Amino acid sequence: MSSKVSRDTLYECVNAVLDTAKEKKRNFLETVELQIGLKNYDPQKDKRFSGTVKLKHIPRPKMQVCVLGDQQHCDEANANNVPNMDVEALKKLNKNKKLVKKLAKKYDAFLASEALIKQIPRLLGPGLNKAGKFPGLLSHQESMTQKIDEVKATIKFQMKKVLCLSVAVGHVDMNVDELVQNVHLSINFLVSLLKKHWQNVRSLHVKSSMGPSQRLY
Amino acid sequence: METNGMKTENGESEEDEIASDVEDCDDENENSLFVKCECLVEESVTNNYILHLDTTKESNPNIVVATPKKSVLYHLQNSQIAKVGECLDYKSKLIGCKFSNKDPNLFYTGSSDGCIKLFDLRTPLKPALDFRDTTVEDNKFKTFNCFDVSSNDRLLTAGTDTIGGDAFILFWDTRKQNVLGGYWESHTDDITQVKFHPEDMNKLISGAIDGLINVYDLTKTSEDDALVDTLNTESSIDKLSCFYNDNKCCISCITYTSDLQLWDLDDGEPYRRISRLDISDLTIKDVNELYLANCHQMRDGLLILAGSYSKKKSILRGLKVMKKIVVPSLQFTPNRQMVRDSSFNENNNILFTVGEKGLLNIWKVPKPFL
Repeated sequence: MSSKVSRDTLYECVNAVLDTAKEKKRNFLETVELQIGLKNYDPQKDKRFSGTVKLKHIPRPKMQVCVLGDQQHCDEANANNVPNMDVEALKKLNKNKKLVKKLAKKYDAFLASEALIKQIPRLLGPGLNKAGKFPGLLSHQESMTQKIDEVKATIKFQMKKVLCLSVAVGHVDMNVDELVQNVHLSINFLVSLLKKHWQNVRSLHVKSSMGPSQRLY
Repeated sequence: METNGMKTENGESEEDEIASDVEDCDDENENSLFVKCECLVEESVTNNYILHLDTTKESNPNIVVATPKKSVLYHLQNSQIAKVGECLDYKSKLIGCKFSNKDPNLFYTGSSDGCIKLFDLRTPLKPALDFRDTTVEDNKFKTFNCFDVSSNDRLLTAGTDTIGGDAFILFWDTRKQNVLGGYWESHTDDITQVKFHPEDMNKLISGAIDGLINVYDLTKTSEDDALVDTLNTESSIDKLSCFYNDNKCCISCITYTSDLQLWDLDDGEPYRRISRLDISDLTIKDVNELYLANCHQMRDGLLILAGSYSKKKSILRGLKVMKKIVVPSLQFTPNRQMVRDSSFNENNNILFTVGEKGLLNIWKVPKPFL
């Protein structure tokens, strides 16, 4: 399956997005989105188009990840300045809905040690599930900082009932090459999941939060 | 391993049609790894997609298939099928069909407008009972996505899309039409699967677009206590099923990115991850063309059904999950469609498949390869 978007077009559009963002600085970090319009696709009958994709460069650097750790992971987290909680701290929340909600709000994502992850429903109830922030597993075989970066680099995509979806692939402080790589990787992965591949794609655009959209395809 | 039959059976004309991007997967060596299953029946049910299928467990099973707008019933006897009837009484998309676990003449169908109907095969024109969300207020109707019936036919459950930020799991006692109760705290996005434990009516699993598999103990009075386990697939869940591995009840999960995860309930991560890439290496080579159709428990392991989107040839193959490795196992030729649902009958080793060309296929699986 060959890509229908040339390298030149990719660079041209991404540059245009970055240039507009530089011309008019906003007082927040603008996100760069990839917008995909679909065709020949029936949400009533065709499989859902939903899942996650891991990008090469972190699109949301400001994401705060909290480690729910065993002793070893909490020590490691403290050494790396990573927010963390141990089992005792979780017990103190006492399944209190308000407190769990508050905890869920405070961070963008959670990672938990093997020993803790199985206890989370019993310790916290469904609070983290409801917030869409149930932790991923942090094992002792992998590096904590690397795993956190992985969480930050993984984005969700989902098409609802309208035939378009938008995925946050980066931000305007990334350099052109990084953004192009993220856009390229996302397009290839998403198109590969579509039954008719490029024949399902009506349009592709990139845009920053406040800027105009640039047509890729 | 027998190879003779296959070379001739596969037919040169079909080989020629294989798209260039999957050409290297059908050479003789590759083919000889897969044992061919004979197609006993190919029935054209409709011009529309068939999205759901269920069959009863007897050796002469009843079959129900669901297109978006109707359900059609068949009976299989001596490798031949006879149409028994059809139900057209639906106002919205069908979300599933399922036989009663107790009586092979009873079956349920669910539709997205929030109604599950119980039919008797002998009087398919009119439902015997229907189950709706009786808690609706202010016309806030929930869109149903999936449903299931417990092993003893006592409990009925349905999973919904999100409405006002909540995705619901609703319950009915099958003897009453009023909703028994519901959960709405454990998922944050559309619920795509609800499945009762194969034996225990008080255990339920649910899966959703948010990527979580939740395990509930229904004997508990509140959702807070009922939620006993959450497994984070970090993807979006398409299909869940329970199977036994060394007498332990495990969960297989197919994601919308066509990856397979196998979980037992002891660990915080799957004990096996079989990626789309792993499966394509063993089946159709071009990963871009691969989809996962389903997963079935066979006598000595799991069977993964994988197919190719390719318009020229809709390859359908089976892989067997062994203790340590995954091996090529079965080949279903000629398959003509993208398979959307399937069912395996252990009594006569028959696999049923339905899909996007509106065909119902019935395949004989040779004995040594179960």
